[in-house]
This record gives sequence, C-alpha cells and structure tokens, in this order.
Amino acid sequence: MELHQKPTMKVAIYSGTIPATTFVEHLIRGLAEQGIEVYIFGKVKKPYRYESKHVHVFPVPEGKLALVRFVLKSLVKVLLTAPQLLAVVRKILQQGKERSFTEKITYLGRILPVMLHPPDIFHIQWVKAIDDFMWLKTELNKKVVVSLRGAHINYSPLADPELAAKFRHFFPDVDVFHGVSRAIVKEAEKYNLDPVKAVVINPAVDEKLLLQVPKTNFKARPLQILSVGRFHWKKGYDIALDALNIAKGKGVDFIYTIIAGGNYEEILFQVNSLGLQENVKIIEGLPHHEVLQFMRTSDVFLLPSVEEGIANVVLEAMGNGIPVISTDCGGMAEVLVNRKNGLLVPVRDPDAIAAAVIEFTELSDASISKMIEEARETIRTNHVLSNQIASFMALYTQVIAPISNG
Amino acid sequence: MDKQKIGLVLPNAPGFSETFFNSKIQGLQDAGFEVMLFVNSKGTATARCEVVKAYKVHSNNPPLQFIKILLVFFKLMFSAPQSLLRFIRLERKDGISWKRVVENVYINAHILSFKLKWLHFGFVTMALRSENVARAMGARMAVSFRGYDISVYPIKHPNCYHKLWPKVDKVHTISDDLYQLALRQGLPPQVPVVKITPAIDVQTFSQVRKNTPIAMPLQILSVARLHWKKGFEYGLSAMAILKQRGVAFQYTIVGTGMDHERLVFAANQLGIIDQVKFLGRKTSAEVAALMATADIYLQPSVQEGFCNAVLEAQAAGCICVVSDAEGLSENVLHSRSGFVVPKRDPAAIADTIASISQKHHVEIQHMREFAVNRVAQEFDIKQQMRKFTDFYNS
Repeated sequence: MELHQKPTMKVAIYSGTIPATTFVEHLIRGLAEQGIEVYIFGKVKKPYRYESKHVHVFPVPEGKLALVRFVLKSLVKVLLTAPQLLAVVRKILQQGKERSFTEKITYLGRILPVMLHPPDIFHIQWVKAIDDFMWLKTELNKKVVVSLRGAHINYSPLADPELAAKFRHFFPDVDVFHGVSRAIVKEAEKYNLDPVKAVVINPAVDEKLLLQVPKTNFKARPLQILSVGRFHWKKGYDIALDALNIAKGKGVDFIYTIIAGGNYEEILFQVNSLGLQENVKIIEGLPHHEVLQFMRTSDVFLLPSVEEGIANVVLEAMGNGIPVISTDCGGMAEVLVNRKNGLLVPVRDPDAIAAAVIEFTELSDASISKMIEEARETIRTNHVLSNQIASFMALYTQVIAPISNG
Repeated sequence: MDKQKIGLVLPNAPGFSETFFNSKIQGLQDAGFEVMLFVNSKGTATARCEVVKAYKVHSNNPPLQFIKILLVFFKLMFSAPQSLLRFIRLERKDGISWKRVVENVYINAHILSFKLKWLHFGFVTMALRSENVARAMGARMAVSFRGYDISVYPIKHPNCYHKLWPKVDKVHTISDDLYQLALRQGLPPQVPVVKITPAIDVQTFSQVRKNTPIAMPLQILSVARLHWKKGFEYGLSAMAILKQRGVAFQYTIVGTGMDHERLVFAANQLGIIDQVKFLGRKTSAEVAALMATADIYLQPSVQEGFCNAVLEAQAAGCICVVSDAEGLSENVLHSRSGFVVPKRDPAAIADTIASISQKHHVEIQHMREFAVNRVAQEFDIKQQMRKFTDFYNS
C-alpha cells in the first residue's frame, strides 16, 4: 500500500484523437486542475500542450512501419509487466477474425497502451469505439463510462443495423452513461441503455463570457444573422437558406453569415440557385476567440440544425448576449423556452424559421434585452464550466466508490 | 486509308450499366470509326475498345515523380516529338509557368502520343489543364456538357473555362438549359453546338404494357444516387405532407451514396420510416421490374443534367413527377408526359401526387401512352447512335 494522503484517481478520457473537441479538452484540463490523473490515448492530429503534470499523454505513432514497431515493443512490455493480459490480446484478436493484418495492427496500437497504463475509469467519448475497450470491464474489472454523442446515438445506428446491434450488446455492461441532454438519454434507451445508469450533465461555457456587457441595439439594416458550425447536413444550412429565401420574399433585408469549415459545394450551389449571393457570406476557419468576437457584431444567432446533442455554440451566443433562434432538435428545448430566452421553432420547417426571423425584427429593443437577460440567466444557472467539472468529479467518485470502500 | 480515330476522355472506363457511353462507343464502331478511351482509372469495367490510362501522379513521392517525368518526356520525344513541342509552345503562349507546363505534359502524356481525328472530353471538367492537347496533336476538340460540370463546378471556380472556350471546335450538350448556362459562362455563341439527349434502350423498359388503374396505397419510386443533388430531402418532406393529409403511399428509393445516413434519419424524423424503403443498389433488370409495378416515379432533384432514370420510368408507363432542375423540364413535358414542379418545393410535389391519385383512369392512361410513345420516338438509343456519328462527320 502506497502512502498517499488520498488515493489519486486515474481517469482515461478517450476520443481517439489528440487534441479532442473543445468540450473534451475543457474536461481534461478541468479534471487535471482538480488533481485527477488524466490519461489520454490516441492519434496526434495537431500539436498540443498541457500545462498540468497530471495530464499523461500516450500517443500512437503514425505510419505503418512505426506502428508495427510500436506494437511489437508494447507486446514485449505487456509480456514482462502483465503477462496475464496476453490472453486477453489473443482473445480479442480471435473475436475479430475478419480483420485484415493492417486493421489488427491498428487495433493493437489502440489498445496496448491502455493495457500498459490501465486507468481506474475509462471514459469513452467516441461511442462507436465501445467494442474496442469493453475488455477493461470484463477482463480487468475497471469502470467504463460512456458519453452519448449526438451523431453516434441520434442517427448513425438508424442507418447502420450492425452498429445498433453493437450498442445493444455492450450498453448493459457500461457502468455509467453521461448524456448532454435528457433527449439523448431517451434516444439511447432504444439500444438497451438502462436509464438508472444515466447522468445528464449540462454542457457548459466559460463564465467569463457573462462578464461582457450585452449589446443593446439589434436593429441593424440589413439584419445581421449568424450561424456557426461545420458544413454538415445535420447543421441544416440548406433549410436555413430556404427559410431566408422566404423571408427575403417577405421583405426582410439581411446578411446571413456562416462561419464554418468543410466542403460547402451544396450550400454554395443553393445560394446561387436561390439568387442569394448578395445576402450570404461564408467565412472559413475562424479561430474560436474570433468567432466569439464576431458574434457580438451580429443581431441574431440562428441554429437551423436537424440534429444536435445540445449545441455549445448556442450556449456561447446566449452567454455572449446574442439573441437566438433555434430549431428544437435534440436537447435544445431543454435550454430554450420559446419567447422567454430565445425563439424555438420546429425542425425541418423553413416557413417557421422565416416567421421567427420576421417576428424577431418586430420585437422592441426592450423585449429583446429582456430575452437576452433571461438567456444569460439560463447560462449562469445551468451551463457554466466550473459546475460542469464538479459534476464530472461527482460522477467519477460515485462510479469508483464501491472499489475504494473495498 | 486508316480508320478515323476518336479519342474519348473520361474519368474512368464506363461500367457495364452505363448505357450512354457504351452505346455511343458501339454506335461509332458500327459506323466505321475507331474509338479509344483515355481514363484516369480503369475500374472494373470491361470496355469494348482500347483503353489508355493516365500516368499515376506521385505527389507524396517527389523523387519517384521526378524519375517518371523524365521517362515520360523521353518516351514522348521519340513517339510524338512534334506533338510534344507544339504542346509546350501552346502552353507557354498561354502564359503558363514552366513548372506547370511540365506537370501538364505529364498528365496529358498518355494522350499526346496518339494520332486522332477528334479528341472528345466527356465532361468539360475533364478538359481543364488539357486545353491545348487536341491542337498539339492536330486533332479537333469536342466537349460534352453533362450537368455538374456546367451548373455546379464553375460556381466555386469562377472563369475556370475561359482558357478552354476559344479552343473548342464543337460542343455536345445534353440539354438546352445547360447550353444556356454555358453561354452565360462565356462560351462564344459561334462555337457549333449539337444537342444529343441521353437515350435508353426502350425495349428493356416497355415490355410490360401498363394499363391498370392507379390504386391505393400509391406505389412511388425514385432511382438515384443518394446525393444532395438529387433533392431527396424535399421528396421525403413531400411524403410527410402526404401522410399528414391521409394519402396512403409506399415510397421506394433505389440507390446508394454518401447521404444514406442523412436520408434514413430524415425519414425517421419526419415520421414516415414505415412508408419508406431504402433498397440500396439494384441491377438495371431489377430497376425495370420495380418500374413496371410503380404508379408514380419521383425525381425531386435540385440539379440534374437530363436524367436517364426519368426516361426509363416514362417508357415503363410510370406517371413521372419531376422538379424543374435544368434538363428535367425538357425530359418531361409538363402535364403531357408527366408533371414538372418547382424545385425545392415539397408542397408542390405533395399536391401533384395527391392530384394524380384523384385523376380519372382514362386521363392517366392517355398520359402514359403519350409518354411511352414520345420516349420511343425521341429518346431511343438507336437514334442517339446516329446523332453521334453525324456529330463527328459534319
């Protein structure tokens, strides 16, 4: 028994890539600040830097040759330090007989570092990879926490019956699920998620946003409408353009700015075929802090998505003091109450978005300011980062509790 | 005298089911031409003529690329020195940098060593960076307008064809609409143009003479790649409207593609997944069988060159409901051979489908017969073969 004052908890946050999404990076740093030993596994996609000595990164090398060498070295290490795990390796490889050699090597590259540095809790952010790591639970009796992400739960398994079967098979073995909304937990119940094991932790934004003095004039001509989020069908930009085309026909003068990355051939084609070239601006690859600044020059933020967990960018707009029009996709209705702290419209309904834009232009500055204050209050109460980290700490403590009690 | 040679430049050799190119090649061969294909990848297709593949570009391996460029230049200096020199001179005259000229020689080297009467680019985009190849080898240059290349690509790449237009000897367009778009993008009106629409083997699709009345639930069919251009989300929204109005239907979608998840999710979210079937890929015989039993064929595209499937559906006696995207309104004559509705308009699709279910059988039968006859007269493959022979002879 080591003579620590209190046993430190080792938590692996797995999303497959280093660095991960903004949300996961916040989580990693927040946990490390609380003294948790955070393990990160995966492929390095961009340079990264963690100030805290509590963050431990175990990267998987790129390139086939380097990977093979890495796998062989790791196998030897496993043989020397934890020979009983080789049986697990063999078992896993036998299960995946249909995998090619390259796939097997890639797979081993993914799991061997975890075998050499097993955490107390393995937190999977990339649900589709659930089958790669459930041996931690079944063979080593470690705890597995799974975060439910929008796409992985809301639509991928609908179109892919094998994925749905995989979820149904593995979900009963998971210790705790983390959902960003009640809606996504409900959706995951289709795949054998036991609601008793699910904890909803609200996504959150930096409370520093709330220190800003909100703007008071929202009646720019033309009206400045903003959307932020990568070009992907789930973001519903096609629906937004149809909606704004309707609004234009009803006399609304606007500039619609989309800040996004990715392939936007479809959207560009639609802008041209609707004749909205003068009304739509696309800005590619703006860094996050500049996005927040740009937001403050907009009159209204639009989320036209057909699918989201809870869109962080809406929380940022709300905290930033920008009025929001959003579809009620995913968990958005758990954040927004129509006409109270924003405008909420049905999904896939261009007429409804157009009507909401027109309604917005007809609101008085006073009622917009009131709406913004309500929105900021929502963020202050439910969606600040410090609360989020505390919630995750509580979740991990609760998961691990049976072990430390012996 | 040698047979006259025509070189077709395509992304890859046409697959077995790609009637358009296969029949075109067959027709030209029957008319006494020798046909060659220049492709980037051979794929799995079994072509009925000589196929020459482009040299592979090794952008990740500069040393290998350098050696291969040397070899290719060496080869061309012996096999086609005049074409090579002319090509370099023409490129330099266009103000292209030496580095770029060397690259362009390499990517066109597989074509430059032949002697052809015509060099025909199957899509305008295929002619980019090959603008001077035909002239360098003493051939005439033809390009085809097929949809995406004229209506989508230039939006993101404005003026991309400005260097190309003056060098084109003849244009083939599959619809009037595309030709008008090209004129707006700077194609000089004096360049000769011939419209040859796609065509189908009418026999395959009109074997069963359909004369049964339309019954409920309506059998609605679409056959297309699952791609945003095909506007399936608008089609699915229309189905949701029909369901809301209590119109009974079964909607079958044949095809695969990158938007599979998007569309399955849409059908779920719109609450119509029980009325919608995604069948995936089907052979042309299976498609013909599905068309033989469908009442209504729907093509909700937002962008469409012409659309063979709509011709096939008309030949099979389906009542076609199509959007007015580009060539589709030439493909279907509104309220005579089918119905043309504005694109991006689910309500219009739903209204039209609902009204079809109300129509008298005689009226339906009249429309079917008109469509079947029109396709047989104007869009049969044999006629298309003749038109292509004329294209190169005149």
